[in-house]
Amino acid sequence: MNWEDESLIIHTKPYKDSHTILTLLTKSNGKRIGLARTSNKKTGNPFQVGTIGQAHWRARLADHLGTINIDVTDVPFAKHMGDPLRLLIIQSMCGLLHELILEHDPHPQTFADALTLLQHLHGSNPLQSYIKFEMNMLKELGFALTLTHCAATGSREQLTYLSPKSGQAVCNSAGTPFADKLFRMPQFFKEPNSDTPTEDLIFCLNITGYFLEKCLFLPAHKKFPLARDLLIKKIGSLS
Amino acid sequence: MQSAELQHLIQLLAKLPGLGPRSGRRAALHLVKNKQTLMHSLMVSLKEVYDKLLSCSTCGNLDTSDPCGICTDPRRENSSICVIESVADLWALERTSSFKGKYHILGGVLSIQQGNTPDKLTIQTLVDRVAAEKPQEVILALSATPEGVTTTHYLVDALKSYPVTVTGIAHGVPIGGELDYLDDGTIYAALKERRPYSS
Repeated sequence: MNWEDESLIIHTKPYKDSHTILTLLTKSNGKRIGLARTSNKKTGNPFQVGTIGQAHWRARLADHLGTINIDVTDVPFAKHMGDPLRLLIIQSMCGLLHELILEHDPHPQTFADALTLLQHLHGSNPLQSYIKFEMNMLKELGFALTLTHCAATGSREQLTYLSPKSGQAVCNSAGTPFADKLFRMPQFFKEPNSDTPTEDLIFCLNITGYFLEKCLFLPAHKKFPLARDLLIKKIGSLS
Repeated sequence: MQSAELQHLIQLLAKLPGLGPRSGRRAALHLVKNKQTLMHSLMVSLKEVYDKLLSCSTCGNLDTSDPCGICTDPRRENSSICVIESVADLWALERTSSFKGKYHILGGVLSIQQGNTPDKLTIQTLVDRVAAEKPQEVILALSATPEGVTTTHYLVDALKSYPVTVTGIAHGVPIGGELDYLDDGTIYAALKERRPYSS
């Protein structure tokens, strides 16, 4: 049994001195795990989270651990080593993918979103791309935020609130009586553009974080990736 | 058929890093064959280390005294502290004899997989040490892995309010390394951190 696929390394675990157990998100085969030979400690381990490449997986049966060999095509970690924000974004993205995507469950859209985010890290607004990634992830896993119309009236105008219960937008007239129980709709959710203030972006991350935790992490008894907490702390210190 | 005692010894030896059941058996047999010359000395040495070894309350180094020999050595410079992950890294740096300052062992790097949150590491101890000892430089010599680099950035933030120069060790081509055999990430990092040569 073997397959070959575009892949992204989302988790690594050292195994003895010269091997690493890699968790990959692949384009067509979903999340897969395998043992990779990672030379030795003298030359370093080229397989770090965020690395993109063509994976070759081999095993006798499909549910075996299998061995992986990767022809590396890009190493975003090396490119962004000096930038804590971008580094935390890579780690947070990989942490979310590792915790939330089920094994053998193909998510080609999430894979494409992850590659898009890694490409956008070279741009000037990586944080905005990361928020979009989290929103897309919620959508892909069945908990999309509905931001186009009001949950109560169906109106598409003056969407000023967001329901923490349903993740749907609520218009001003329907939401004002319950304003203390609703999230204020961040400007970035309404009009994503490059001028969004940092406070608004942190608020967006808090909202996506709330839904990720409520809908996905808590039911699975999982913890948020440490990198995401550090990312929010880092953004806070930048503003 | 081995005795229960010998079997227990083999099981313990097999738990050592780099050893398995087969090499555990070989090591046990070797010890038994050299009972007086090796086994007894090893037993005495293990007991001695077990009884006397302490963790330095200042830097985290392992020694028979607290503070350790490095922290109390008057020949070591007080102007720089090198932050490392473990005692193994301290030994690696000491082998080179290139660093004359003092050390601070962090106890790992930030990693949710290993349960290493900031409060599990000796980050606060380092910050307190920097405040008290007022070194001129803190050298962050952590692994070039995402976790290691994230920890480096975290420490830079933690130390930014103190009048100290925070530096990191270089990443790039190892001595004797050939570019052709290096991975893309290392070459990229090496090229990015290039430095001018003076004629």
